[in-house]
Amino acid sequence: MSQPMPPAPGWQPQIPMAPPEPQIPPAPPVPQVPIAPPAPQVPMPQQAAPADPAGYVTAPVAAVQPGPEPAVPLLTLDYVSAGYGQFRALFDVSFAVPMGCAVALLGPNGAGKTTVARVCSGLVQPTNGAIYLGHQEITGMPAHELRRLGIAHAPEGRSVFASLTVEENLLLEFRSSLGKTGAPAALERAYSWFPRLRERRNQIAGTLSGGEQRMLSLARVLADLPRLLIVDELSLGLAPIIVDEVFETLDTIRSQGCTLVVIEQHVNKALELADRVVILQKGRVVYDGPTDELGDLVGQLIPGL
Amino acid sequence: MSRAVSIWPASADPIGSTKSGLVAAGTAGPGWARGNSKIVNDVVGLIVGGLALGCVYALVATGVVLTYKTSAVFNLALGAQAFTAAAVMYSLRNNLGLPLILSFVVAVLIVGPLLGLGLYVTLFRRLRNVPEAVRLVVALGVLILLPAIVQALWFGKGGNRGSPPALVLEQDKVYAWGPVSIPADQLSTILFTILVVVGLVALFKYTNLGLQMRAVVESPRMVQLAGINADRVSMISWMLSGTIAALGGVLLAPLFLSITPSNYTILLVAAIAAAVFGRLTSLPLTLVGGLALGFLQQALSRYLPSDSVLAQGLRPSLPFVVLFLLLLFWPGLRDRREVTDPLAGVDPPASSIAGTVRASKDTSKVLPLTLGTVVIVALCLLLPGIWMYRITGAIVLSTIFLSFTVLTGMAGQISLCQAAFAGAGAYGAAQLANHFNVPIMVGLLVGGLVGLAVGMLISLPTLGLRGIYLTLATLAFTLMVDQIVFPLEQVGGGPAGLEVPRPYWSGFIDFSDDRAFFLLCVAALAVAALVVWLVRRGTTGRFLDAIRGSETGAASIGINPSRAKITAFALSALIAGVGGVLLSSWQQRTSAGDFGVGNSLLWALVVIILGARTIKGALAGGFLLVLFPELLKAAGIPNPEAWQGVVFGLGTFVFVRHPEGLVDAIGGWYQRHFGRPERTTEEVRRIVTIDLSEPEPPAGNGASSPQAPYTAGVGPLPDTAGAVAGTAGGGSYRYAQAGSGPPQPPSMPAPPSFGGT
Amino acid sequence: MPLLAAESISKHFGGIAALVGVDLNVEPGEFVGLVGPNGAGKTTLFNCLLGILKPNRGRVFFRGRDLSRMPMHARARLGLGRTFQRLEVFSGMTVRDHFLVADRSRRKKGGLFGDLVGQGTPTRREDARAEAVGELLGLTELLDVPVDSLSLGHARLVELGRAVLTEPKLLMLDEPSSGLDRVETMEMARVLQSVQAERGTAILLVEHDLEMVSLVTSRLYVLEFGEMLATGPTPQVLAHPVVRRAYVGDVA
Ligand SMILES: Nc1ncnc2c1ncn2[C@@H]1O[C@H](COP(=O)(O)OP(=O)(O)OP(=O)(O)O)[C@@H](O)[C@H]1O
Ligand SMILES: Nc1ncnc2c1ncn2[C@@H]1O[C@H](COP(=O)(O)OP(=O)(O)OP(=O)(O)O)[C@@H](O)[C@H]1O
Ligand SMILES: [Mg+2]
Ligand SMILES: [Mg+2]
Repeated sequence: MSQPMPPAPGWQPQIPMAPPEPQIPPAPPVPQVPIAPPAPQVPMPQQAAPADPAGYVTAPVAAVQPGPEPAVPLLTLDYVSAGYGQFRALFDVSFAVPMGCAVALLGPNGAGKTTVARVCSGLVQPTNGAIYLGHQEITGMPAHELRRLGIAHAPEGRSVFASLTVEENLLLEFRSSLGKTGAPAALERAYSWFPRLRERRNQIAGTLSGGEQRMLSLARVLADLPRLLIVDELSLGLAPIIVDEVFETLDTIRSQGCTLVVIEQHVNKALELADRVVILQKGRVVYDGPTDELGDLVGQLIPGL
Repeated sequence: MSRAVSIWPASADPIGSTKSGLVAAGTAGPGWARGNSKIVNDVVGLIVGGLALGCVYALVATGVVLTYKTSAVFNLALGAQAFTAAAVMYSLRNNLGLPLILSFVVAVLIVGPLLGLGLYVTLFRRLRNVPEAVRLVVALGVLILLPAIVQALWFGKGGNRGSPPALVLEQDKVYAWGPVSIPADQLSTILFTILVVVGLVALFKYTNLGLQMRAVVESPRMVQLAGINADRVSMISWMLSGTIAALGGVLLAPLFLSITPSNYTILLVAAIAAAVFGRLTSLPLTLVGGLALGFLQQALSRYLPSDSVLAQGLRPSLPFVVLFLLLLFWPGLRDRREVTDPLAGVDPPASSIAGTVRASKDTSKVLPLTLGTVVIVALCLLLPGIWMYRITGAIVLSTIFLSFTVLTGMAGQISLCQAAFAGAGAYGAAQLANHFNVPIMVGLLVGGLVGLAVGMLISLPTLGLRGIYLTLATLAFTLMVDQIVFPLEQVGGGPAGLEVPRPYWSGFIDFSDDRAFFLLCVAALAVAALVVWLVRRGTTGRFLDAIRGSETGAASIGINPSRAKITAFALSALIAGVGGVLLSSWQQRTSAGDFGVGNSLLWALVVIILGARTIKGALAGGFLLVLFPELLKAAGIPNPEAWQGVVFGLGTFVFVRHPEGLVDAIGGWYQRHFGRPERTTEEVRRIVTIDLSEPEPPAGNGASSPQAPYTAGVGPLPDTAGAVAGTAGGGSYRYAQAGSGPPQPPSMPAPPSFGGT
Repeated sequence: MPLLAAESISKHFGGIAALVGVDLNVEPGEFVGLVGPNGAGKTTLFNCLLGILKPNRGRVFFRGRDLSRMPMHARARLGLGRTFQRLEVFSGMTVRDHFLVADRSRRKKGGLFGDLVGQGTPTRREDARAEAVGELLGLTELLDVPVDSLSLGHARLVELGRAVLTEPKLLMLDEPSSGLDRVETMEMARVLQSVQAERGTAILLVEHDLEMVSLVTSRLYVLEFGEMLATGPTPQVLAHPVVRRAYVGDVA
């Protein structure tokens, strides 16, 4: 695998970045979101309209409006508690993910990072609190609807369909999010980022090596260019050389307008990439702020660094 | 002795009830390969007849493969679905006289998919994260429930009006091309099958929906993460398989004189054989398997003299024999891993059908428990004779059911051949008693050993088979034993059955009195229960637990999985064998069907629903099965057998929520509401969490200092800072700490909301 | 005589050559690393050594015995312990039960007869051993928790503890630190070193965390595309330009 990775030939960011036609609704108080604060909103240069053929964005999440104030964050967790059965894993977790940012979600084992990711993507429903995507409250929405709103989640571990081939794994995702027309380009993109997968396109995914499976589950969501990408245990099982490439890819897609939430044990790498950091401990947020202000606090909050 | 629910014929030759032995001859009936004596026509008739029969097998097998492939349910209920559709069709067409097309539309295109959908929504939707075995039991429950409902409610009461309708526009028309002549109904069968198989292959190969269906079986949650409504995909696949089953049922109906559940169970077994041929995944192979079976059956019936012993034994049993041989020898079935959901961890672990209830060191309960038992036993001695007799039966059955506790509750294997073990023991002891005057006391031992031998016989060749395949092997084995071995004069004593005396030995030992026999049975049960209890809390139980969790993992620490599994099978068969002897001795005779397939299935269902993990479950099963029909009879309910099936089948609906078994579930409920609080794992865990969840200040930070510099220093960032940061104390970040008061809410009001899907 | 000697192991999956004539030796008490890019064949090699897979060619000797015809559990009894890249924990069982089972299996105690005479329940000594391992791995609080509800990192520790309790002569670890945070990774490195030092266990470690690898291992094998690319003392191998290009990536 050579690096740095060039953008694939068919590179076409699929996030609704710029509207295809100037048909942006200017409506200031977004009608379908009653809970939205009346506060003035800001232009979100990379965010606009129902531009996708596959019904990717069902409604303009935040209308474009002139104004100098800070943007509404893309994702907001508001006093979210969650758990498994009777076991409570998250306690009043609140933080926000600004548009176009990369947020690193850090913390020791069992802190609840995975649970946060699952709550954001709708796999686990919060028992309390609310989640917003832009202005839209998305608490309680099933995972597949959130995916259609643009929240993609690469779960930790070998999250592939073991009985499908590599290509079927990819197509399943791309066809549903990008439609039949967008799928080939995304496929091409995935293969150019992970040439190994191209070699193995017809192999049954369950027989791939651990790292190859991880590449596959990353490729599935990366090449999709979702609005918000949540990656759990990004580099788990990947060889160092691939880890570097993946981080570069993440950087690339962020510059294409994709917002990132990255959970990662290689703290230094994560901090290099991230604009903001959220640190969890035992189910609570203990730090939430920009990376550069973390300073030497990091040594205290994340021991062992 | 309870009678089996009527999904299996008591007669030894199930296919003997076909229309003029149609499957046997292929020449009779409304144009089934109407033969004449010429060789050519003979062969053509064979091919055509085999083709049509094979097509029906293949069609239902396709349904089996489809459900398995798209929902990981080995849907035994397809037999029942096929029966129900055929019954609807028959009623509409023959009883109400509706037009053919209309009846077809209702039976196949409406009832079929609705049944499938209903099963999914009410039962199988909840079963995504449970082991395959649990789903199988639920399917088994439906297999018993559906026909029972249909029969209890409306079908089979009105009497037959003519033979079941064929799916043809013109009855009795024959299409002929040269020497080839095909009756219209066979032609339509063949055409429908081709249509279905080609359609499904295309669906899986070329369409997105097919891809989604194959994916959803592995992990509905991951499918959702891909933006696909997993539930909808599952619904579609259940409706589709329901339609196919209904089609198979309707097409098969005219082959038989009447529409009975047992015919459809036979169809199901043949279809299973075909599906196994396709390794439960390949549709083309399944088709080939179905056709091959059809031809084979036609050829056998044509070329074997119909009065030979071989033919009589083999002909009707061909599907089972083929199924069994396939399971043993068809490559690709062994060492198959159950595909697990990578996102299974999202849900709290489900309670499972098997599971070692960990031994508590608490012995305070032993004494009261023993005393209580003694008192109850003593009270039973005061009961009137008939009730004492019945309770003895319940105790005997409970003993047999303990064999499930070993095999299912500990090893996690669903076995459908426990009745065969019991039968082997019973017949062994009875034959010894009748021919060699061996006292039944000794026979008890011999019976246990015979059972054990049979247990080894089945467990050794099936060692590599896991999960569903092992269960199918036990099913095929029971069917073979039930249909071929037990009816033999030398084994089961032929149609008359065998006389079995009560244990009696030259004046020393005499258990012929009902009371004495009752005590003997209590003792046997106590011993069996003690053995099970010890094994479960001992090394063997733990090893079996481990193997169930991960066979590879177990082997990696030096546990020999094969040995442990054989041990479980042997122990289970031993208990069942002894129980079988007691059972026959209790009735003082054996009769056909005592140890047949019907009982095997019913027993498995009842025990597992009530709880295969615990001794309590086995006891409850024994008593329920013996006493419940008596209660029904006492209440004067007509058609009690069907109602019994309905009730036990309905148990599956509870089971779906409580795979650990009804008894445990009730116990847990009682404990929660009235009992002394006992620390469950869940609670221990919660306590741990509460300790953990005390938020601590980060290491090295004094309690006082850290907050100030971080809240005051930095002004709001111009662009990226979000709403949360913006409101939290003017800083661009928030630094939450214990006791620092509730952080300010973000700019949006937060209505209390609960996720609910 | 080396503790473990694998001689020209080859393994193909259809057209894919996962291992091509790989040799590998481990001396008693040695701490050896095995690294390589994704899909190089490390896990496949482990599976061949342990008998989960049958190599197409080549033989494995352990303590001087040819393992080729031995089933997996027999190899484990000879003293090969391992953990898995894809977890193979006993779902449904608690952490403590994992340890008890491993302990039982090593002592070959019990069996059906032992159970029937009432020797089945764990003794206080066994319990103590389980708890000691729990403490070694920092799992004390989680001993009575079912493994299914552990986070990924903790579940890996359980597998390690299970393998350690069988007191193997050679412990083969497949990416034990993946999913662990920094603290726990370093903690695991320490535990591994102490296991090696105190019990004289040889360890063969597959790992992508180079920091850990260079900390604990004294010798390193590098596998690439199924072939052994390099072997030698860890620092030299890791510094070698060929290895850096194939595996480590840019000199950071
Ligand atoms: N299915 C489950 N049932 C019960 N408890 C669970 C379940 N999944 C996770 N937990 C518990 O929830 C807590 C948080 O787990 P989570 O997986 O979110 O941690 P994490 O920060 O991702 O840890 P890691 O870094 O090890 O992946 C842990 O204590 C874990 O044991
Ligand atoms: N059953 C199989 N069928 C086909 N190919 C397989 C099979 N098992 C493994 N492979 C291939 O063999 C190669 C070696 O796999 P292996 O799991 O040994 O890699 P690895 O070195 O452990 O990699 P990683 O670091 O990613 O875990 C991989 O390319 C994998 O795709
Ligand atoms: Mg995690
Ligand atoms: Mg590997």
